[in-house]
Amino acid sequence: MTSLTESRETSLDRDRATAEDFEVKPGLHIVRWVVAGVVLLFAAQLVYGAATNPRLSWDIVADYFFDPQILDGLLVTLGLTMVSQVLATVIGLTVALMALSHNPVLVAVARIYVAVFRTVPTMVQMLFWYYLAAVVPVLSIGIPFGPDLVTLDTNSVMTQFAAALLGLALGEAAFLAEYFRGGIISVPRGQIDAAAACGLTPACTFRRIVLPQALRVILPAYGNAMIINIKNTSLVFVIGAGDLMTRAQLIYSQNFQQIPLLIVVSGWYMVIVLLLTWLQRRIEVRYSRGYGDRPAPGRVWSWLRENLSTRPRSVR
Amino acid sequence: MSGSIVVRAVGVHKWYGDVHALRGVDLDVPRGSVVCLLGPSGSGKSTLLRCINRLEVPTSGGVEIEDDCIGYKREPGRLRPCSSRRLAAQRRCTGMVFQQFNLFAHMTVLQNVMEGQTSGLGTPKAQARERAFELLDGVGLVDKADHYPGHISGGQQQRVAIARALASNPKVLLFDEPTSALDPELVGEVLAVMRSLAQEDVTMIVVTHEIEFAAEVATEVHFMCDGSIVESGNPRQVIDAPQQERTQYFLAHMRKRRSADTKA
Ligand SMILES: Nc1ncnc2c1ncn2[C@@H]1O[C@H](COP(=O)(O)OP(=O)(O)OP(=O)(O)O)[C@@H](O)[C@H]1O
Ligand SMILES: [Mg+2]
Repeated sequence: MTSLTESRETSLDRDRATAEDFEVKPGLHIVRWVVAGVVLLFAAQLVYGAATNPRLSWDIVADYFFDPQILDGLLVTLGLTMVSQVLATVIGLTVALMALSHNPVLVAVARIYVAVFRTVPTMVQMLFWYYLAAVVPVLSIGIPFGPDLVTLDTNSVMTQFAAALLGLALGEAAFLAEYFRGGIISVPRGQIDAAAACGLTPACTFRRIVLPQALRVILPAYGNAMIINIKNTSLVFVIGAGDLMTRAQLIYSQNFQQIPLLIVVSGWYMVIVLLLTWLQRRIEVRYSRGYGDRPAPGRVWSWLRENLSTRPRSVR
Repeated sequence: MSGSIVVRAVGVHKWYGDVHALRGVDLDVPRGSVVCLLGPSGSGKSTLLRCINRLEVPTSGGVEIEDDCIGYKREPGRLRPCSSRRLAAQRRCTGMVFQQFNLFAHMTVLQNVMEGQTSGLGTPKAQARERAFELLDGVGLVDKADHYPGHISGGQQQRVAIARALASNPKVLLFDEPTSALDPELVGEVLAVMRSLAQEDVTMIVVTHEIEFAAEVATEVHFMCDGSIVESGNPRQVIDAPQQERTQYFLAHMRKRRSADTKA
């Protein structure tokens, strides 16, 4: 520790600082170290307690983590997540573009869509779509008030998976639509003027100039919405769509090991979310090019390296 | 239409709600000329410039560039509004430089200059790149090709914007107060680029408050007030010996501000 606290007596002799005097590590931030130590102590206690608590049955957690039923459920969860995310993105972008269009009817429809689907809770929606056949026994696609082109039996279309998908996607789309709209209107008017003046068509302007800049604003919120969506898939156990949560529930209703199985479920969600967060960061970096944004702050170990290094930082 | 006229505005009116921003403006711009538009704030200079490349749609009247009516296609005996694709193609006959530069913030300097060629004209990348480097060389910024607009000075950004505006080989360049957003010491570098363009006989329409630049470079000066052109002529006539009271008042005001600036 002596080397850390060793300070610059030399400069005290002179009354004017020279450039070399500044080449000294700043003070040691005692408070910062103490706070970090206390927090780590509490964290260690928590981890130790969890690891050694026999009632948490880590062996059962390990047994079930790669259980074929759980993995089946995981696949359903991933499938639901991906398909509903794509669906929500497409619908959300469409609704956002409608809301920004010059057609008052489209604007009104977009507003109503957002108002309705932002309001109804996801679980209620899933149940609603699941029981749709009770009110609308037959689904038909055709000309409004005119002849039908395709007719389908609602019950055969509205499987658990489809109901879950609609419940997840339509609700998330309402939120995404607002994120997209906000991102798009955040692009300054001058960028669009410049693109038009360069001879880009409106579609090309949107694709090449507006969307990439809007994405910078949209991505953090989009990532958040996606993570909420992933976790919302666990709600589908109410209609028994066979996802991760449903499978875990089936298992613990037989062996009564609720907590270990819930830990298994949480563990898998954590893995998925961590992977996606990593991916999101990388995409965010790509779309913040040209804005002088620094990379994500708060890297623990770069902080440690900076604070533990005894070498004076050189003048740059 | 006379072969030497590149841009012709015909009876252009523009209403913004109740505001009559342009009151029937007629303007002929000969090939190779530098036309400066002067006038007080709110007189409609920007609006006129933006009507020329149809960033604003005139409420009535229109603009002809060579034999193309911007925003229309000719049919036997009449004009019909054209598609946005065709309008985009017509806009490539013009290049525009904005007061706030408006470089594409997410693209490098090089990509900014290439974009209009690759996405607009469909020029192959390699060829667009070569042309972009030529243009950047012309404005002395080859070494900044890989920088993002946010990382170069305002004067450099505006020079890039000029290179970008030149990329589609436009028949006319439109400048909307290109130096107004710049620190005084950066104004010179942009004006120097514009001077050299004038020497190469590039046709330019320049909205500016730089009276000295107008007096030196312009071949024609138009003074606008309340949405109309109230006085036109060569710079010696309009700037040195204005006939209209409003022009005299405006120029005297500008000179007073100028001398106050230099004193300060
Ligand atoms: N988008 C708009 N909506 C409503 N009014 C507008 C709009 N753009 C311009 N105007 C009005 O039209 C008139 C002319 O504006 P314009 O911007 O052409 O003036 P200008 O001569 O360029 O002024 P400045 O020297 O300040 O740039 C002004 O009264 C302005 O308030
Ligand atoms: Mg203006």
